[in-house]
Amino acid sequence: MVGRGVGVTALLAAVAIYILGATSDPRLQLLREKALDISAPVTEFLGAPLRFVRGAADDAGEFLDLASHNKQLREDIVGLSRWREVALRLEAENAQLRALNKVTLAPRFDYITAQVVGNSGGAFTQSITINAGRAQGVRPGTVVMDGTAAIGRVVTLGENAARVVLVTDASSRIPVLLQPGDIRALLIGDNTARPKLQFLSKPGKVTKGQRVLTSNHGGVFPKGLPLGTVDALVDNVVRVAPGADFRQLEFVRLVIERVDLTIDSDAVLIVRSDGGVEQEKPDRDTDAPEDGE
Amino acid sequence: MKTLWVSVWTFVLVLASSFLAITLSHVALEVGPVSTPWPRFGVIVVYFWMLHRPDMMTVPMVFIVGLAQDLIVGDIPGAGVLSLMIATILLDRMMPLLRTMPLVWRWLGFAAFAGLTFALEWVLTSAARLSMQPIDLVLVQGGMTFLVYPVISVAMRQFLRIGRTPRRAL
Repeated sequence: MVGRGVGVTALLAAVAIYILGATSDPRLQLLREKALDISAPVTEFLGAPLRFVRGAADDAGEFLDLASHNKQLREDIVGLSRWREVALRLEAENAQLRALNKVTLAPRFDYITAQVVGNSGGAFTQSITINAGRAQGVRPGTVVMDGTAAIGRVVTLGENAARVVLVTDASSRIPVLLQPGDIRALLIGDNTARPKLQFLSKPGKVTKGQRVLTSNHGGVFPKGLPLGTVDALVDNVVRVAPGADFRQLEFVRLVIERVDLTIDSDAVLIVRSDGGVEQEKPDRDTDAPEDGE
Repeated sequence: MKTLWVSVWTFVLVLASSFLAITLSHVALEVGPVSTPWPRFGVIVVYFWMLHRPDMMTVPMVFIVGLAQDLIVGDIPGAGVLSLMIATILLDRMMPLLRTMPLVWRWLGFAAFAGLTFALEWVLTSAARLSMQPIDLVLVQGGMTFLVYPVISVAMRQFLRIGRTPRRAL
Protein backbone atom coordinates (compact mmCIF):
# COMPACT_ATOMS: atom_id res chain seq x y z
CA MET A 1 0.00 0.00 0.00
CA VAL A 2 2.86 2.36 0.88
CA GLY A 3 4.64 1.51 -2.38
CA ARG A 4 1.47 2.25 -4.33
CA GLY A 5 1.11 5.58 -2.54
CA VAL A 6 4.69 6.53 -3.40
CA GLY A 7 4.10 5.53 -7.02
CA VAL A 8 0.97 7.69 -7.27
CA THR A 9 2.83 10.60 -5.67
CA ALA A 10 5.67 10.20 -8.18
CA LEU A 11 3.17 10.17 -11.05
CA LEU A 12 1.48 13.33 -9.77
CA ALA A 13 4.89 14.96 -9.37
CA ALA A 14 5.70 14.08 -13.00
CA VAL A 15 2.42 15.65 -14.13
CA ALA A 16 3.20 18.79 -12.12
CA ILE A 17 6.72 19.01 -13.60
CA TYR A 18 5.30 18.58 -17.11
CA ILE A 19 2.85 21.44 -16.55
CA LEU A 20 5.64 23.64 -15.17
CA GLY A 21 7.92 22.63 -18.09
CA ALA A 22 5.23 23.30 -20.69
CA THR A 23 4.63 26.76 -19.27
CA SER A 24 8.41 27.45 -19.04
CA ASP A 25 8.15 28.06 -15.32
CA PRO A 26 11.39 29.69 -14.04
CA ARG A 27 11.34 27.51 -10.89
CA LEU A 28 12.63 24.60 -12.99
CA GLN A 29 15.56 26.65 -14.25
CA LEU A 30 17.59 26.22 -11.06
CA LEU A 31 17.08 22.46 -11.23
CA ARG A 32 18.26 22.41 -14.85
CA GLU A 33 21.32 24.48 -14.01
CA LYS A 34 22.28 22.06 -11.22
CA ALA A 35 21.75 19.05 -13.50
CA LEU A 36 23.88 20.72 -16.17
CA ASP A 37 26.74 21.39 -13.75
CA ILE A 38 26.70 17.77 -12.58
CA SER A 39 26.28 16.08 -15.97
CA ALA A 40 28.63 18.22 -18.10
CA PRO A 41 31.91 17.00 -16.51
CA VAL A 42 30.69 13.37 -16.70
CA THR A 43 29.75 13.82 -20.36
CA GLU A 44 33.12 15.42 -21.07
CA PHE A 45 34.90 12.54 -19.31
CA LEU A 46 32.94 9.86 -21.18
CA GLY A 47 33.50 11.57 -24.50
CA ALA A 48 37.26 11.93 -24.00
CA PRO A 49 38.27 8.48 -25.35
CA LEU A 50 36.02 8.96 -28.37
CA ARG A 51 37.44 12.39 -29.06
CA PHE A 52 40.97 10.99 -28.68
CA VAL A 53 40.32 8.26 -31.26
CA ARG A 54 38.74 10.72 -33.64
CA GLY A 55 41.59 13.21 -33.12
CA ALA A 56 44.20 10.52 -33.77
CA ALA A 57 42.47 9.51 -36.98
CA ASP A 58 42.29 13.15 -38.10
CA ASP A 59 45.97 13.69 -37.24
CA ALA A 60 47.00 10.62 -39.24
CA GLY A 61 45.02 11.87 -42.21
CA GLU A 62 46.53 15.33 -41.99
CA PHE A 63 50.04 13.93 -41.65
CA LEU A 64 49.62 12.11 -44.94
CA ASP A 65 48.55 15.38 -46.59
CA LEU A 66 51.27 17.47 -44.95
CA ALA A 67 53.11 18.52 -48.09
CA SER A 68 50.04 19.69 -49.96
CA HIS A 69 48.72 21.46 -46.82
CA ASN A 70 51.98 23.36 -46.44
CA LYS A 71 51.89 24.52 -50.03
CA GLN A 72 48.28 25.62 -49.66
CA LEU A 73 49.03 27.47 -46.40
CA ARG A 74 51.97 29.36 -47.94
CA GLU A 75 49.73 30.55 -50.77
CA ASP A 76 47.05 31.56 -48.28
CA ILE A 77 49.54 33.53 -46.16
CA VAL A 78 50.64 35.58 -49.17
CA GLY A 79 47.03 36.38 -50.04
CA LEU A 80 46.01 37.14 -46.43
CA SER A 81 48.98 39.43 -45.83
CA ARG A 82 47.79 41.60 -48.69
CA TRP A 83 44.25 41.65 -47.28
CA ARG A 84 45.57 42.46 -43.79
CA GLU A 85 47.20 45.62 -45.10
CA VAL A 86 43.99 46.63 -46.82
CA ALA A 87 41.93 45.90 -43.67
CA LEU A 88 44.22 47.93 -41.41
CA ARG A 89 44.16 50.89 -43.80
CA LEU A 90 40.37 50.76 -44.06
CA GLU A 91 39.94 50.45 -40.30
CA ALA A 92 42.10 53.48 -39.64
CA GLU A 93 40.25 55.46 -42.30
CA ASN A 94 36.92 54.35 -40.89
CA ALA A 95 37.93 55.33 -37.37
CA GLN A 96 38.95 58.79 -38.55
CA LEU A 97 35.64 59.31 -40.32
CA ARG A 98 33.71 58.19 -37.25
CA ALA A 99 35.70 60.57 -35.11
CA LEU A 100 34.93 63.45 -37.48
CA ASN A 101 31.21 62.70 -37.37
CA LYS A 102 30.98 62.07 -33.60
CA VAL A 103 29.21 58.78 -34.10
CA THR A 104 28.30 56.03 -31.68
CA LEU A 105 30.11 52.89 -32.61
CA ALA A 106 28.18 49.66 -32.91
CA PRO A 107 28.83 47.49 -29.89
CA ARG A 108 32.04 45.56 -30.24
CA PHE A 109 32.42 42.05 -29.06
CA ASP A 110 34.60 39.93 -26.85
CA TYR A 111 34.85 36.23 -27.53
CA ILE A 112 35.11 33.19 -25.31
CA THR A 113 36.08 29.87 -26.83
CA ALA A 114 34.46 26.73 -25.43
CA GLN A 115 34.47 23.05 -26.22
CA VAL A 116 31.33 21.15 -27.17
CA VAL A 117 31.02 18.29 -24.69
CA GLY A 118 27.54 17.02 -25.43
CA ASN A 119 24.61 17.25 -27.77
CA SER A 120 20.96 16.54 -27.19
CA GLY A 121 20.98 13.64 -29.64
CA GLY A 122 17.23 13.73 -29.40
CA ALA A 123 14.34 13.93 -31.79
CA PHE A 124 12.60 16.70 -29.89
CA THR A 125 15.34 19.23 -29.27
CA GLN A 126 18.47 20.52 -30.98
CA SER A 127 20.95 21.65 -28.39
CA ILE A 128 24.57 21.29 -27.38
CA THR A 129 26.36 21.47 -24.06
CA ILE A 130 29.57 23.49 -23.76
CA ASN A 131 32.18 23.61 -21.01
CA ALA A 132 31.95 27.33 -20.26
CA GLY A 133 29.52 28.94 -17.88
CA ARG A 134 28.96 31.78 -15.47
CA ALA A 135 32.50 31.50 -14.09
CA GLN A 136 33.93 32.17 -17.55
CA GLY A 137 31.77 35.24 -18.12
CA VAL A 138 28.96 33.66 -20.12
CA ARG A 139 25.54 35.24 -19.69
CA PRO A 140 22.03 33.95 -20.41
CA GLY A 141 21.19 34.62 -24.05
CA THR A 142 24.84 34.82 -25.13
CA VAL A 143 25.12 34.21 -28.86
CA VAL A 144 27.25 31.25 -29.96
CA MET A 145 29.12 30.99 -33.26
CA ASP A 146 31.10 28.20 -34.84
CA GLY A 147 33.70 30.63 -36.20
CA THR A 148 31.84 31.67 -39.31
CA ALA A 149 28.16 31.79 -38.46
CA ALA A 150 25.82 32.05 -35.49
CA ILE A 151 24.57 28.65 -34.38
CA GLY A 152 22.39 29.45 -31.38
CA ARG A 153 22.18 31.05 -27.96
CA VAL A 154 22.69 30.07 -24.33
CA VAL A 155 19.44 29.08 -22.61
CA THR A 156 20.63 27.29 -19.48
CA LEU A 157 23.65 28.54 -17.62
CA GLY A 158 25.57 26.58 -15.02
CA GLU A 159 28.72 27.59 -13.17
CA ASN A 160 31.08 25.86 -15.62
CA ALA A 161 28.75 24.65 -18.34
CA ALA A 162 25.96 25.96 -20.52
CA ARG A 163 23.32 24.58 -22.81
CA VAL A 164 22.96 26.18 -26.22
CA VAL A 165 19.74 25.89 -28.21
CA LEU A 166 20.60 25.73 -31.89
CA VAL A 167 18.98 27.76 -34.64
CA THR A 168 17.57 24.50 -36.01
CA ASP A 169 15.61 23.75 -32.81
CA ALA A 170 11.82 23.81 -33.07
CA SER A 171 11.61 26.51 -30.39
CA SER A 172 14.09 28.84 -32.14
CA ARG A 173 12.73 32.12 -33.56
CA ILE A 174 15.27 34.68 -34.84
CA PRO A 175 14.48 37.99 -36.57
CA VAL A 176 16.70 38.18 -39.64
CA LEU A 177 17.60 40.42 -42.55
CA LEU A 178 18.18 39.10 -46.07
CA GLN A 179 20.97 40.78 -48.02
CA PRO A 180 20.98 42.12 -50.65
CA GLY A 181 17.45 43.44 -50.69
CA ASP A 182 16.92 44.40 -47.03
CA ILE A 183 14.15 41.85 -46.61
CA ARG A 184 13.03 41.30 -43.05
CA ALA A 185 11.90 37.85 -41.96
CA LEU A 186 11.75 35.39 -39.08
CA LEU A 187 14.04 32.35 -39.12
CA ILE A 188 12.12 29.46 -37.59
CA GLY A 189 13.71 26.16 -36.62
CA ASP A 190 11.75 22.94 -37.06
CA ASN A 191 14.30 20.33 -35.91
CA THR A 192 15.46 19.77 -39.49
CA ALA A 193 18.93 20.65 -40.79
CA ARG A 194 17.52 23.61 -42.76
CA PRO A 195 15.34 26.09 -40.84
CA LYS A 196 12.62 28.01 -42.67
CA LEU A 197 11.91 31.69 -43.28
CA GLN A 198 8.49 33.12 -42.50
CA PHE A 199 6.82 36.55 -42.35
CA LEU A 200 8.95 37.91 -45.19
CA SER A 201 8.55 41.66 -45.74
CA LYS A 202 9.08 41.32 -49.49
CA PRO A 203 8.29 37.69 -50.40
CA GLY A 204 8.61 38.28 -54.14
CA LYS A 205 12.21 39.43 -53.88
CA VAL A 206 13.67 36.35 -52.19
CA THR A 207 16.26 34.61 -54.30
CA LYS A 208 18.55 31.67 -53.76
CA GLY A 209 21.95 32.63 -52.39
CA GLN A 210 20.89 35.73 -50.44
CA ARG A 211 22.76 36.10 -47.16
CA VAL A 212 20.74 35.68 -43.98
CA LEU A 213 21.94 37.94 -41.15
CA THR A 214 20.66 38.63 -37.65
CA SER A 215 18.66 41.87 -37.47
CA ASN A 216 18.66 42.64 -33.72
CA HIS A 217 14.86 42.98 -33.64
CA GLY A 218 13.90 41.66 -30.23
CA GLY A 219 17.35 42.49 -28.93
CA VAL A 220 18.59 38.93 -28.41
CA PHE A 221 20.99 38.61 -31.33
CA PRO A 222 23.36 41.48 -32.22
CA LYS A 223 22.85 42.94 -35.69
CA GLY A 224 24.74 41.61 -38.69
CA LEU A 225 25.89 38.17 -37.58
CA PRO A 226 25.79 35.69 -40.48
CA LEU A 227 23.41 32.76 -40.14
CA GLY A 228 23.48 31.19 -43.59
CA THR A 229 22.14 31.61 -47.10
CA VAL A 230 18.75 31.19 -48.75
CA ASP A 231 18.85 27.66 -50.06
CA ALA A 232 15.64 26.65 -51.77
CA LEU A 233 11.90 27.11 -52.05
CA VAL A 234 10.21 23.81 -51.19
CA ASP A 235 6.40 23.62 -51.07
CA ASN A 236 6.17 27.42 -50.80
CA VAL A 237 8.54 27.37 -47.80
CA VAL A 238 11.83 29.24 -48.05
CA ARG A 239 14.60 27.13 -46.51
CA VAL A 240 17.97 28.38 -45.25
CA ALA A 241 21.26 26.50 -45.44
CA PRO A 242 23.06 27.29 -42.15
CA GLY A 243 26.55 28.76 -42.59
CA ALA A 244 27.84 26.68 -39.68
CA ASP A 245 29.06 23.16 -40.20
CA PHE A 246 27.09 21.20 -37.63
CA ARG A 247 29.15 18.08 -38.42
CA GLN A 248 32.30 19.70 -37.08
CA LEU A 249 31.05 21.35 -33.91
CA GLU A 250 34.01 20.75 -31.63
CA PHE A 251 34.84 24.27 -30.49
CA VAL A 252 32.54 27.28 -30.50
CA ARG A 253 32.89 31.02 -29.90
CA LEU A 254 30.63 32.87 -27.50
CA VAL A 255 29.96 36.46 -28.46
CA ILE A 256 30.03 38.81 -25.47
CA GLU A 257 28.82 42.31 -26.27
CA ARG A 258 30.72 45.28 -24.91
CA VAL A 259 29.09 48.58 -24.01
CA ASP A 260 28.64 51.28 -26.64
CA LEU A 261 31.51 53.67 -27.24
CA THR A 262 30.63 57.23 -28.16
CA ILE A 263 33.34 59.07 -29.98
CA ASP A 264 33.98 62.60 -28.89
CA SER A 265 34.98 64.85 -31.78
CA ASP A 266 37.87 66.23 -29.73
CA ALA A 267 39.23 62.82 -28.87
CA VAL A 268 42.03 61.02 -30.57
CA LEU A 269 40.95 57.57 -31.67
CA ILE A 270 43.40 54.74 -31.18
CA VAL A 271 42.95 51.40 -32.89
CA ARG A 272 44.84 48.81 -30.89
CA SER A 273 46.64 45.89 -32.47
CA ASP A 274 44.00 43.46 -31.12
CA GLY A 275 41.25 45.35 -32.94
CA GLY A 276 39.93 47.19 -29.88
CA VAL A 277 39.19 50.89 -30.05
CA GLU A 278 39.85 53.45 -27.36
CA GLN A 279 39.82 57.22 -27.29
CA GLU A 280 42.23 59.57 -25.67
CA LYS A 281 40.73 62.90 -24.67
CA PRO A 282 42.84 66.03 -24.64
CA ASP A 283 42.83 68.18 -21.48
CA ARG A 284 39.81 70.49 -21.51
CA ASP A 285 39.54 73.95 -20.11
CA THR A 286 37.55 73.46 -16.89
CA ASP A 287 36.39 77.11 -16.92
CA ALA A 288 34.74 76.76 -20.30
CA PRO A 289 31.14 78.06 -20.23
CA GLU A 290 28.36 75.48 -20.40
CA ASP A 291 26.01 75.28 -23.37
CA GLY A 292 23.36 77.95 -23.38
CA GLU A 293 25.21 80.41 -21.19
CA MET B 1 23.06 -8.73 6.61
CA LYS B 2 24.32 -10.19 3.34
CA THR B 3 20.87 -9.76 1.79
CA LEU B 4 20.86 -6.10 2.77
CA TRP B 5 24.24 -5.51 1.14
CA VAL B 6 23.11 -7.28 -2.02
CA SER B 7 20.03 -5.07 -2.12
CA VAL B 8 22.08 -1.90 -1.60
CA TRP B 9 24.60 -2.99 -4.23
CA THR B 10 21.81 -3.79 -6.72
CA PHE B 11 20.16 -0.44 -6.04
CA VAL B 12 23.43 1.43 -6.67
CA LEU B 13 24.06 -0.64 -9.79
CA VAL B 14 20.61 0.07 -11.21
CA LEU B 15 20.89 3.78 -10.50
CA ALA B 16 24.47 4.11 -11.76
CA SER B 17 23.83 2.17 -14.98
CA SER B 18 20.73 4.28 -15.65
CA PHE B 19 22.62 7.57 -15.26
CA LEU B 20 25.51 6.24 -17.32
CA ALA B 21 23.09 5.28 -20.09
CA ILE B 22 21.44 8.70 -20.05
CA THR B 23 24.81 10.47 -20.18
CA LEU B 24 26.05 8.23 -23.00
CA SER B 25 23.07 9.29 -25.12
CA HIS B 26 24.27 12.83 -24.64
CA VAL B 27 28.00 12.53 -25.48
CA ALA B 28 29.07 14.60 -28.48
CA LEU B 29 30.21 11.81 -30.78
CA GLU B 30 30.70 13.97 -33.86
CA VAL B 31 29.66 11.14 -36.12
CA GLY B 32 27.02 13.15 -37.90
CA PRO B 33 25.17 16.42 -37.91
CA VAL B 34 23.75 17.61 -34.61
CA SER B 35 20.27 17.00 -35.97
CA THR B 36 20.98 13.25 -36.18
CA PRO B 37 19.09 11.52 -33.38
CA TRP B 38 21.00 9.01 -31.28
CA PRO B 39 19.64 5.88 -29.56
CA ARG B 40 18.08 6.64 -26.21
CA PHE B 41 19.98 4.29 -23.93
CA GLY B 42 17.99 5.41 -20.88
CA VAL B 43 14.81 3.76 -22.22
CA ILE B 44 16.75 0.54 -22.85
CA VAL B 45 18.17 0.42 -19.34
CA VAL B 46 14.81 1.18 -17.69
CA TYR B 47 13.20 -1.70 -19.62
CA PHE B 48 16.16 -4.01 -18.90
CA TRP B 49 15.90 -3.47 -15.14
CA MET B 50 12.11 -3.65 -15.19
CA LEU B 51 12.52 -7.07 -16.72
CA HIS B 52 15.34 -8.38 -14.54
CA ARG B 53 15.04 -6.43 -11.29
CA PRO B 54 11.42 -5.27 -11.06
CA ASP B 55 11.82 -4.77 -7.31
CA MET B 56 14.42 -2.08 -8.05
CA MET B 57 13.03 -0.41 -11.17
CA THR B 58 9.81 0.71 -9.52
CA VAL B 59 7.64 3.68 -10.51
CA PRO B 60 9.48 6.09 -8.17
CA MET B 61 12.82 4.90 -9.60
CA VAL B 62 11.49 5.43 -13.14
CA PHE B 63 10.53 8.94 -12.00
CA ILE B 64 14.11 9.67 -10.85
CA VAL B 65 15.70 8.26 -14.01
CA GLY B 66 13.18 9.95 -16.33
CA LEU B 67 13.55 13.31 -14.61
CA ALA B 68 17.35 13.08 -14.83
CA GLN B 69 17.00 12.31 -18.54
CA ASP B 70 14.75 15.32 -19.11
CA LEU B 71 17.04 17.66 -17.20
CA ILE B 72 20.24 16.41 -18.83
CA VAL B 73 19.06 16.03 -22.41
CA GLY B 74 17.17 19.31 -22.32
CA ASP B 75 13.75 18.30 -23.61
CA ILE B 76 10.65 19.77 -22.05
CA PRO B 77 10.93 18.77 -18.37
CA GLY B 78 8.22 16.29 -17.52
CA ALA B 79 7.45 15.08 -21.05
CA GLY B 80 10.03 12.29 -20.99
CA VAL B 81 9.49 11.24 -17.39
CA LEU B 82 5.70 11.20 -17.73
CA SER B 83 5.79 9.08 -20.90
CA LEU B 84 8.26 6.64 -19.32
CA MET B 85 6.09 6.29 -16.22
CA ILE B 86 2.86 5.78 -18.17
CA ALA B 87 4.53 3.14 -20.37
CA THR B 88 5.92 1.45 -17.25
CA ILE B 89 2.53 1.34 -15.54
CA LEU B 90 0.66 0.15 -18.64
CA LEU B 91 3.11 -2.60 -19.61
CA ASP B 92 4.09 -3.74 -16.12
CA ARG B 93 1.76 -6.77 -16.27
CA MET B 94 3.51 -8.30 -19.27
CA MET B 95 6.93 -8.28 -17.59
CA PRO B 96 6.61 -11.54 -15.61
CA LEU B 97 5.62 -13.30 -18.82
CA LEU B 98 8.48 -11.81 -20.85
CA ARG B 99 11.06 -12.53 -18.14
CA THR B 100 11.20 -16.23 -18.96
CA MET B 101 10.97 -15.80 -22.75
CA PRO B 102 13.85 -15.92 -25.25
CA LEU B 103 15.56 -12.72 -26.40
CA VAL B 104 13.41 -12.30 -29.50
CA TRP B 105 10.25 -12.06 -27.40
CA ARG B 106 11.87 -9.70 -24.93
CA TRP B 107 12.94 -7.61 -27.92
CA LEU B 108 9.34 -7.47 -29.14
CA GLY B 109 8.28 -6.47 -25.64
CA PHE B 110 10.84 -3.68 -25.80
CA ALA B 111 9.39 -2.57 -29.14
CA ALA B 112 6.02 -2.10 -27.44
CA PHE B 113 7.58 -0.31 -24.47
CA ALA B 114 9.81 2.00 -26.54
CA GLY B 115 7.05 2.60 -29.12
CA LEU B 116 4.61 3.68 -26.42
CA THR B 117 7.24 5.84 -24.68
CA PHE B 118 8.25 7.68 -27.86
CA ALA B 119 4.63 8.10 -29.02
CA LEU B 120 3.58 9.56 -25.67
CA GLU B 121 6.57 11.88 -25.56
CA TRP B 122 5.81 13.08 -29.07
CA VAL B 123 2.20 13.86 -28.09
CA LEU B 124 3.24 15.59 -24.84
CA THR B 125 6.01 17.62 -26.53
CA SER B 126 3.67 18.67 -29.35
CA ALA B 127 1.04 19.70 -26.81
CA ALA B 128 3.57 21.69 -24.77
CA ARG B 129 4.88 23.50 -27.85
CA LEU B 130 1.41 23.94 -29.33
CA SER B 131 2.57 22.55 -32.69
CA MET B 132 3.00 19.10 -34.22
CA GLN B 133 6.65 18.09 -33.84
CA PRO B 134 8.36 16.38 -36.81
CA ILE B 135 7.51 12.70 -36.53
CA ASP B 136 10.29 11.46 -38.84
CA LEU B 137 13.05 12.22 -36.32
CA VAL B 138 11.07 10.43 -33.61
CA LEU B 139 10.74 7.37 -35.86
CA VAL B 140 14.47 7.44 -36.61
CA GLN B 141 15.42 7.68 -32.94
CA GLY B 142 12.86 5.06 -31.95
CA GLY B 143 14.12 2.74 -34.69
CA MET B 144 17.75 3.19 -33.65
CA THR B 145 16.87 2.54 -30.00
CA PHE B 146 14.93 -0.59 -31.03
CA LEU B 147 17.81 -1.92 -33.15
CA VAL B 148 20.47 -1.40 -30.50
CA TYR B 149 18.46 -3.08 -27.70
CA PRO B 150 19.69 -6.70 -28.21
CA VAL B 151 23.33 -5.59 -28.18
CA ILE B 152 22.95 -3.64 -24.93
CA SER B 153 20.78 -6.32 -23.36
CA VAL B 154 23.19 -9.18 -24.14
CA ALA B 155 26.21 -7.10 -23.09
CA MET B 156 24.60 -6.15 -19.77
CA ARG B 157 23.50 -9.73 -19.07
CA GLN B 158 27.01 -10.97 -19.71
CA PHE B 159 28.81 -8.19 -17.88
CA LEU B 160 26.44 -7.99 -14.92
CA ARG B 161 25.71 -11.50 -13.82
CA ILE B 162 22.87 -10.00 -11.86
CA GLY B 163 20.89 -9.56 -15.04
CA ARG B 164 20.73 -13.23 -15.96
CA THR B 165 17.33 -14.86 -15.81
CA PRO B 166 17.08 -18.20 -14.00
CA ARG B 167 16.98 -21.27 -16.21
CA ARG B 168 13.61 -22.86 -16.53
CA ALA B 169 13.19 -26.15 -14.74
CA LEU B 170 13.22 -29.12 -17.10
